[in-house]
Amino acid sequence: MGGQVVTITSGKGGVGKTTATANLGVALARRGQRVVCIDADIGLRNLDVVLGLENRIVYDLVDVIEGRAKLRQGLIKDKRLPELHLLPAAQKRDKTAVTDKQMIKLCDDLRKEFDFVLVDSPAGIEGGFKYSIAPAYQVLIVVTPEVSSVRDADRVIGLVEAQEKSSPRLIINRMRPSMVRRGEMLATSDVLEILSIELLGIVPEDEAIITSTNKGHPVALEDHSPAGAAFTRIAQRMMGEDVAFQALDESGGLLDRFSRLFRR
Amino acid sequence: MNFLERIFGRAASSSDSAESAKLRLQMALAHDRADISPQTLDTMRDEIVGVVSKYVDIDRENVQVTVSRIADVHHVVTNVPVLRTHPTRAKPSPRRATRPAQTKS
Repeated sequence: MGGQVVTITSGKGGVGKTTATANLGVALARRGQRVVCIDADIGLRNLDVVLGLENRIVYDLVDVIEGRAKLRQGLIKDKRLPELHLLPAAQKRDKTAVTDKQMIKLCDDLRKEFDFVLVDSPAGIEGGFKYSIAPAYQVLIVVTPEVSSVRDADRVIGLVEAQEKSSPRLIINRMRPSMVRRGEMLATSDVLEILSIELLGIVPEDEAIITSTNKGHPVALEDHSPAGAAFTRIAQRMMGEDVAFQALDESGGLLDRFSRLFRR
Repeated sequence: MNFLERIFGRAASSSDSAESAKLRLQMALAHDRADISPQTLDTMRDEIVGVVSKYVDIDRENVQVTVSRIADVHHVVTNVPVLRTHPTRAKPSPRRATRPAQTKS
């Protein structure tokens, strides 16, 4: 037995994978889960700055995989949350530095000590994406309600489903309810109808994400921001709790719940 | 627009760009998912229109051919709005012709 390996991916870049990983890590750790976040975006390291841990890096993912550092030495412990850890990406290497097999072995070792191993996948569908989903027990797809993001998500869902894994679940990020009401943004029901996968949560567009990233202080550390609260609810669902979907969308929670009922 | 939205109503808008996003996505994904070229899809659409319109009057402008993925099987889904049937030309099914509908006890 052991913890679960959950990979956060999207296909398209810039939709909020790293923000989601950081905030889910924080929200899970706040609820007493032992969490390690792995930045798998080798060469384009960012999860460290989003978490505000960039000044504490000594070793990285590639150092651990190549045996220059022990697993314990590579992990950065978050002083705000004793249960939260980061394994940062190497900045001076590229995606060829890691193989699928090495990632599977690393995550298997981490699962023995952690409840959740969150892998922040790079954008794209090449090597970095492949080694990120190789160890996953569960894959979370982050999508924004835009044509390019939904199209890329569809491609990624196809690639994940082609593997022997449980079906991926969806996080719709940067939702703007007022635009949905005006018919100017794809609604949750539209995205679910097109992608036909299970919804894990909806995160509203929230300026607090920008200010919190400026400071390296993820929104989920506090309870007051809408996005932070949304990430906390997603974390609860990841822990198996049954948390109702909030009224973020056009006709609110009612429509969402109906959509879930009728979804294939 | 699915039936839930029709029931609950989506606010009317002069430029419903979300609706066009959805339609454009469905077309793009049809090509992506099944690797069917837009030309092939158009030809298929025209032939389906030809066959169906032999039997019923249809709204040719609004025939939709999409490809959707259910589990890991691709489905070609065609939506043909029927304006009216022409009873004279419609061939009755052999089943109904030989056995008129009646309840047997």
